[in-house]
Amino acid sequence: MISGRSPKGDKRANQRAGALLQSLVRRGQLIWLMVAVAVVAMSLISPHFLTVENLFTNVLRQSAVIGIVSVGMTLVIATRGFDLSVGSNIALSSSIMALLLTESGATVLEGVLVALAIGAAIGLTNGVLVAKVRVPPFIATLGMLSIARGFALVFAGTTPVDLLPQSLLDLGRGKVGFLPIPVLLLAGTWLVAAYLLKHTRFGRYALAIGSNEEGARLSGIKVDSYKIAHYLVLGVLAAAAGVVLTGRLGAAQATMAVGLEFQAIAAVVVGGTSLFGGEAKLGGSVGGAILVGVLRNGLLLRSVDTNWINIIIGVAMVASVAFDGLRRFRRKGLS
Amino acid sequence: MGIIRGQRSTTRLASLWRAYGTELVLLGAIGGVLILFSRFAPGMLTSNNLVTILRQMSFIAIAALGTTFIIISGRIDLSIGSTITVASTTMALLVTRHGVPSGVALVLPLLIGMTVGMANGFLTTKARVTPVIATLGMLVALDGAAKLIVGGETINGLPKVVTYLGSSKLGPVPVSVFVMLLVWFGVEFTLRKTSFGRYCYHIGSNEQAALLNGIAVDRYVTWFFMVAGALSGLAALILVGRLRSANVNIGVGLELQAIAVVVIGGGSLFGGKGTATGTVLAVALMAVINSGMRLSSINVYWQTAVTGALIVVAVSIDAMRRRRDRS
Repeated sequence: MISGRSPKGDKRANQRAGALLQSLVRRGQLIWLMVAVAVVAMSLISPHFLTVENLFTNVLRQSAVIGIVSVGMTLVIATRGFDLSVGSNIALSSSIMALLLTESGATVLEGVLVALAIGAAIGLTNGVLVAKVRVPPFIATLGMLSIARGFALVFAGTTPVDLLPQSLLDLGRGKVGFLPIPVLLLAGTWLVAAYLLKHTRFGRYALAIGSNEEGARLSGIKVDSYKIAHYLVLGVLAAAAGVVLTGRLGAAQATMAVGLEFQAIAAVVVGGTSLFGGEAKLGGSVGGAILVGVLRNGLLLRSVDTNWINIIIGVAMVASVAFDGLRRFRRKGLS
Repeated sequence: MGIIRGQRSTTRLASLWRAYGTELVLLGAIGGVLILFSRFAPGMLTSNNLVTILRQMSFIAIAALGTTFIIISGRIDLSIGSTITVASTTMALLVTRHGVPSGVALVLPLLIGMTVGMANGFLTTKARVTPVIATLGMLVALDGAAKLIVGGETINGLPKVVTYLGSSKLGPVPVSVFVMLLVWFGVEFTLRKTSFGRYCYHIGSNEQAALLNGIAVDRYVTWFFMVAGALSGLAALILVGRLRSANVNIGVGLELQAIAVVVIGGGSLFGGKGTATGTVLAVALMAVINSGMRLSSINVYWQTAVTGALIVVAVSIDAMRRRRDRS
């Protein structure tokens, strides 16, 4: 547009490339292109990256935990919400589960149910604070981040709780055929969430609330109850991801999953869901989680410092948000 | 006549309450906590402990006073803690290993802080990234940068000039407390009496109106971020001085404390509200609670939970008050 002097052919090629990019962005599939580029790049820099063993058992299994959280996070971000407490949620629910299993002799089923219940309670509190008390989501969940982490530390101290029963470890390490159980759980979560989003009030109203909350309220949608439900589901999903993570690591600890909220939000945002609400690109979020997993694994194999990896993920996240902001800015034509 | 006078005195009380309610509640709470804990922990009300409390609150108060500008203008800055980390570690490294003169080292944290603030300002105003994400990204980037520069080691052996602000005393009172008082009065004055401060409230309470009134919102917001960054740098200098060392964990989580105290001190995350005095009193309240819990040997991890709960309670009260005012 600005380069009016460039030859016509160039311009048209640019436009075509731009249109392709835009349609990918619109359908939320740009992320898979990025995953593909990342996979190629990682296999170029590390010979150990592109093996079936590594891709399935390491990359996908590691991505699954963040993936499960980011599916729930997508729902909440679609309502124009936000949740910073998922990492602490995992720490609290998982370490209490581990304590019950090792010290109180609870069965695995009871332990997992208690973990999910704790996740639900945290999500419910977040939801009530946001929807009923009208605390901005950011600060309500920031407070919850401190509260849940504090409780986890009070109950479990800083030592890891290990010696967990085998059936729990299987949730994180086991396989069905050649597919790791965490990957199956992620796929299941994704499918159910996609169905909910497309075909139920729970999902449709999330989008309606996110694009115009007042409008949704005036149309008779019980905005508050649905918002609470969305936060509650995210809380449960986070706790479930925590159970999987505990199984994979073989131990739970009150200091686990620090900063996981950041990775989950990065996955959602890089996946093309707008922080301004009204959009939910579940596939994009799962792709984002896999992208984070691919980068982390590939760069680690190349023994790149974890800090560089975090920086790269942070930059990708800020760039996506800037991209989203500019896109909206241009569409609206005003601030 | 009597009735009118009665009414007038109640309205005067009411307006006093409206103007200084948060501050009065905080003062009451500080007094209450002091008295409560002095029953369990005999060391609480000694002058020694009070000086310790003042010294511990000084650096966080300075960082929080910078954050006050950000919150009043309706923004948020999550990069305060990592700015403190980067400023302290870089300065300590340069002064101990690379022969940078101490005089330069005194200014360095401030410059680093201002640079980070400028970057935050650019990202939020020009690149239009929401402040939460821009400064969250900055947090991750700066934490990573600090770890890359310093690694896991702790840097000791800082020259006296550098540690002066953090660990010296004038008579019985630490120098850092005087610095805190200076910054407090400076920020209080700026917010009340200068156009810089008035615009801060103006932008925070109605950005569109501020824009229409010809206030250069983007430029002022960038300045607010730079002031917050510079004060984080000053806080870093004091913190390094007090610990006489620096490492990569030095500033972890300080941004949450800073935001928390601004909000507890009467600031609103919706913008347009907050005072320097409220912020400092909230820092004092937190410091007194922490000191009391430590002295009565309560599990230290309760502090994390209590901080979170205080944030939620303070913001809930703010949110409910706003709803009542509107209806």
